[in-house]
Amino acid sequence: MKARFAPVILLCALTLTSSGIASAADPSATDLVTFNSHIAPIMHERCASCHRPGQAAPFSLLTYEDVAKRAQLIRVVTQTRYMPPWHAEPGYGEFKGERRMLDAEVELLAKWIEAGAPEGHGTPPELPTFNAEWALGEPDLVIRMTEPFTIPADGPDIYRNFPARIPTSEHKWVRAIEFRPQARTVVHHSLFKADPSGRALDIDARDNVPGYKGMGNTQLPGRISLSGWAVGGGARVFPEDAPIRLPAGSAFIFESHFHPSGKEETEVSAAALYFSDKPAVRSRVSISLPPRFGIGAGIDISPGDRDYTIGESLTLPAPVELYGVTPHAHYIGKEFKAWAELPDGGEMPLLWIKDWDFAWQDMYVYAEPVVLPAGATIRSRITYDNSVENPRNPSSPPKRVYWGRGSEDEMGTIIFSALPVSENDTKAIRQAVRALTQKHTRQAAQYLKARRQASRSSL
Amino acid sequence: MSHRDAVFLVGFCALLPLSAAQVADIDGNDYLLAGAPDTKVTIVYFVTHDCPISNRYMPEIRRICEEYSQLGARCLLAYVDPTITVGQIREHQRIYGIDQATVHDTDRAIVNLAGASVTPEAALFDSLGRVIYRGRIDNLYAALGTPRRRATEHDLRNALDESLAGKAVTRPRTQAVGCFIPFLNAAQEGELH
Repeated sequence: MKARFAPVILLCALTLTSSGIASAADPSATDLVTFNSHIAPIMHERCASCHRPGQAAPFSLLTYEDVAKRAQLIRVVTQTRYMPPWHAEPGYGEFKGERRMLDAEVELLAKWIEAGAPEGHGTPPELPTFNAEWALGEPDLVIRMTEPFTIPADGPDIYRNFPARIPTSEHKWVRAIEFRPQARTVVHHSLFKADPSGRALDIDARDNVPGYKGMGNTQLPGRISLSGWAVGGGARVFPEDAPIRLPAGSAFIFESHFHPSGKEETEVSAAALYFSDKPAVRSRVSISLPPRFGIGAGIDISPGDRDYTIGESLTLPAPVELYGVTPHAHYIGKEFKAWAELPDGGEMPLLWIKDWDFAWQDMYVYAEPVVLPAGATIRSRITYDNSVENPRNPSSPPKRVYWGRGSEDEMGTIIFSALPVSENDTKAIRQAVRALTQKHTRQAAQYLKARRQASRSSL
Repeated sequence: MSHRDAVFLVGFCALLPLSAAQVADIDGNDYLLAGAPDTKVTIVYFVTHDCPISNRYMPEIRRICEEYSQLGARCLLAYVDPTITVGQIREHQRIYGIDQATVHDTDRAIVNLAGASVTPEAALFDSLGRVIYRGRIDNLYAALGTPRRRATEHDLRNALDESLAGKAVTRPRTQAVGCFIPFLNAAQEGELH
């Protein structure tokens, strides 16, 4: 841990000394930093949405007593940026709901703690108020897991899918989704899918245990991604002119990640759906780089390889707005980077995750849609660390890793949710995406054939 | 008693006031950190009721206590948050199925004796009251937020195996990963990094 913290703390120190700090709450060097004047507003703004009673965080950070006794822990986790949890690099794409403290806030916290964490004079600021009910108001439909699922006290993390039939007789347009876990200490994230094929319900019916194992649901044809929720996240609101079509008779799938907490817990997740009266007037296009979760990217990672890289690019035939971006890999994914090369020679940063954590599957929604012109090339680069030094490596000792659905296999892609700027261009953009996907389908066939031959000859 | 042991005992008594070697558990009984009958080694677990890493270790804490109680080790849980009540401690133990001797280390006497800084953290006291191991239970967490799928190094169990076999502990100090002990002062915390 020593080696791990030292560079981060140094980096923070350099950042702090080089950044011009401008804040209304910024005390001069001679002023005393106190909880009542300076620290409480930071904790309420940055921490209290989770660190309050009934939420996912393990303890509250509302009052002076809550915060003062954990001062050292708070100092370390803010300086290392472990908290608040946010994995995208600042300044490389701007996203909604960014859970980050400003450098100035981290420095104020450190100053306060060095000064002995004084409470200060006056009355403490009022506690923030939060919506107890659904943040977006009365939902049109609430979907719940059909059976409770028991998370054992102990053991490895669990990735499991829970399909539930959506009781609508006609197709709907979803404009927003809000998620509510019941066992907040063990539900880490949930991705939402719709399955018009009905296969998810068949898979679930194969045994008596609620849900079925696995991630991604890549085996379901025509699956629809409905975004997701991770600890600290709020409701997902889709662009007004592009709600998501939900075919009648679909199943809603909670694709959930649980981590045992030391005691047995029971989960019944709920999702509130909000429908739009108006159908989408703009089409959505999903651009996966590489396509199909990287099955055609030739993934073959030797044990010990610390820097295995895949990537793909797509040149846009027409302008698009990028609405959100979802990175995906398994445990040994290390770094994700995506950017666009513009026709004028400029570069647009799109996403950078330096230290990928499999546990934080999330969709990053741009603060403002990113508009890319025709001729722009979107590029992705994903690296893997299959060394023994990677604590997230599920195999000890490391083994040779191929593409696969199991958590000890790998995948890799960066998926952009895009809207053509002009609806007339939808066909051309979809064609470009299809051509790239077909190339990867051919590559995947060769890759899978070679692997079958290799496994036969090794028998 | 050998001459060497006597020297240690004198050293131990000089360093350790009797009040610290003998603590009162939450039921009001005296508890000897060292020298209790039929006890070769005492495991002290430093825990807090609201640290998720500490809580995640409760099943392993329970297992180690059960397995090693047959072999001459006994367990003491030290709750180190002075702001909670004994009622809250009992409720926490009911939820996590803990049935071990427990102290509420409100003045951090045992924390200071062992040199603990984090929850969960374990210390092993031998029969002379020497801290023969202090640190992590195992390496399940590489860092805050970075758990392995399963632990691959079981430092506390190794230390127990060695000390119960009469051997010296190979790695007497390791760094625990978890939540800093409440109200830990900056000076102590600074030594960690």
